[in-house]
Amino acid sequence: MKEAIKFYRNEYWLVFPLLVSGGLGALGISVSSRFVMSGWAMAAGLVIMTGGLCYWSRNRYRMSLQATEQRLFEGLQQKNEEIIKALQDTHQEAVVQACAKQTEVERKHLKTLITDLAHRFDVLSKRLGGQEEEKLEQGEDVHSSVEAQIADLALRFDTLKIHLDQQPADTERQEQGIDGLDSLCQKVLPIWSSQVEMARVHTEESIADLAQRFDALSKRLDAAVMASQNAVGGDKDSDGGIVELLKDSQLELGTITKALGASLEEKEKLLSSIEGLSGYTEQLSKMAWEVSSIAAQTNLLALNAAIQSARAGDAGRGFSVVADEVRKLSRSSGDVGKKITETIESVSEAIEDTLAISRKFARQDEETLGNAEHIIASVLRRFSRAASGLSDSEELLRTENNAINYEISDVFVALQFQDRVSQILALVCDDLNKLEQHLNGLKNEDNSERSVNVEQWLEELAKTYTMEEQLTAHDGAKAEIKTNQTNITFF
Amino acid sequence: MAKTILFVEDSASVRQVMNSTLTREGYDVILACDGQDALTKLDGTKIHLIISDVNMPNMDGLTFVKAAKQLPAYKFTPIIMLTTETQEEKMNEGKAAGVKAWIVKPFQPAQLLAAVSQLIQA
Repeated sequence: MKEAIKFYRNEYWLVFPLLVSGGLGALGISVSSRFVMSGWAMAAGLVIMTGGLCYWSRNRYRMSLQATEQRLFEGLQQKNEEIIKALQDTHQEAVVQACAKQTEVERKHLKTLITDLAHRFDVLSKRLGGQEEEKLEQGEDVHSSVEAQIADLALRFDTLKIHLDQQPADTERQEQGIDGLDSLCQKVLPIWSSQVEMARVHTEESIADLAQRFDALSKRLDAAVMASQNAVGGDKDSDGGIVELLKDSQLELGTITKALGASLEEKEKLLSSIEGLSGYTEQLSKMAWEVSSIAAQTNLLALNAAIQSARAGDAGRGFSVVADEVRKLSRSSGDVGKKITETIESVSEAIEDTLAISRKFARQDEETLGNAEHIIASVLRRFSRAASGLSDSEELLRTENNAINYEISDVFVALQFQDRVSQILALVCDDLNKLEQHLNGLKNEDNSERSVNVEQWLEELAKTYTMEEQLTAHDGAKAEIKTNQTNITFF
Repeated sequence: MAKTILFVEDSASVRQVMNSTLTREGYDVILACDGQDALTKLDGTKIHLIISDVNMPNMDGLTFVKAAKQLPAYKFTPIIMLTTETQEEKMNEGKAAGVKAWIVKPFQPAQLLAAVSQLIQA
């Protein structure tokens, strides 16, 4: 194949078709001599046909060569970019993870790849250089573009080579950096650990305090609702309450108004008795008038007796003394009768006054009783309304309390996050402590054996997890905690 | 008479939450901060139910449950494990040790109380 390419490339191939066409021409002459057709004309036709065939095959070959060349170039360019990217990634990873050995292997591998690629490009370049003259004939601009790209690629590879040559020095610097990192880790890991632990303890104390406060809040609310229930009397068990008080008050106040009414009736009776007394005073006045009348008649009788005794002379002198005494008595009786009348008048006046005052008081008492009944009814109505309002408030309070208790129950669920956070942080702390101990251990060992088995470390860490979310997070996914439903398994 | 529940938990906040939840429901609650502490509370006092965490310092919950089951007075006391642990192996270990229910945190107080009520009456 190489020979064939060389043959075509060097333009020697024209000799071959000329020889073939010459031979065929000669054959044509010899054959045509036996036929009617002119031998020279046949030879000329065969030469033209063979020449055309050779020219067509040459063009086909050139086109296929150009296409192959283009594919190879594109493939190499892509591979080159991938390698550069991989190199960058590897380099970065090496810095972060401090995997000097891995980087060295990668570097060597890449160097081999690059050298190989450079060699292949060199070969390609030379081959293209050989065809330059032909290409100039066909497509000078395409060729120059390809050449420029290859030159650019070569330049980039040179840069890459220089970069790779510099890498051992970088790796050395990284190793120096890892030593620094060890010391830093030894110092900083206990600090991180203690900080995380402090945060964990602080959170735990705060959340416990918060839970206690929520509990106290809930209890106080319960107590308030209970007090309200007792005050309103809505609770079946309670024997007090404002409703009961209202009923009792209504009953007692009714008794009082009844007692007041009864007292008023008694006063009416007393009034009629007093009015009855005024009837007796009239009888007494009449009796006093009769006494005065008897006294006047007795006086007249005594006067007649005195006249008769005077007529009798000395024999009637003693009788005259008696008549005189009788007259005196009748006068005294008349005086007594007058006094009785006066006294009865005074008593009658007093009774009239008493009656008037009593009637006035009775009216006032009636009004007072009427007012009292009205006021009591009004007060009881207002009390009843207030009690009804209180009862509604108590009902509302009870509903609100239930809602708040439900909310607090949710708060209690949310507060449990602390336990989960605490466990996660405790594991992180343990792992930090483990890393610190590991670093301390490595410091005392031979430098050549300083390595960390990352996979083993991660596996051991994964074994310490208790929650699914930790495993999810460990695998790099975002973990979500479900709190809606409690996961209960009964055995 | 109020039923007594022993609650073993190293997290102060969860202890507080559970104490509130259970006392509100009328249970008497005895609190312990780890397995070792809980064993000292099993001194013959009548306990109707034990609720324990799994991962705790000094003595873990499953070791405590096994130790408690050795005590004649508490051999038949129902035990609930209340934990963040979801590994099948641990659950099977608990089941083998005589645990009646396995509740994964975070728990809804109402659902936990339902489970408690169910086991305490059984």
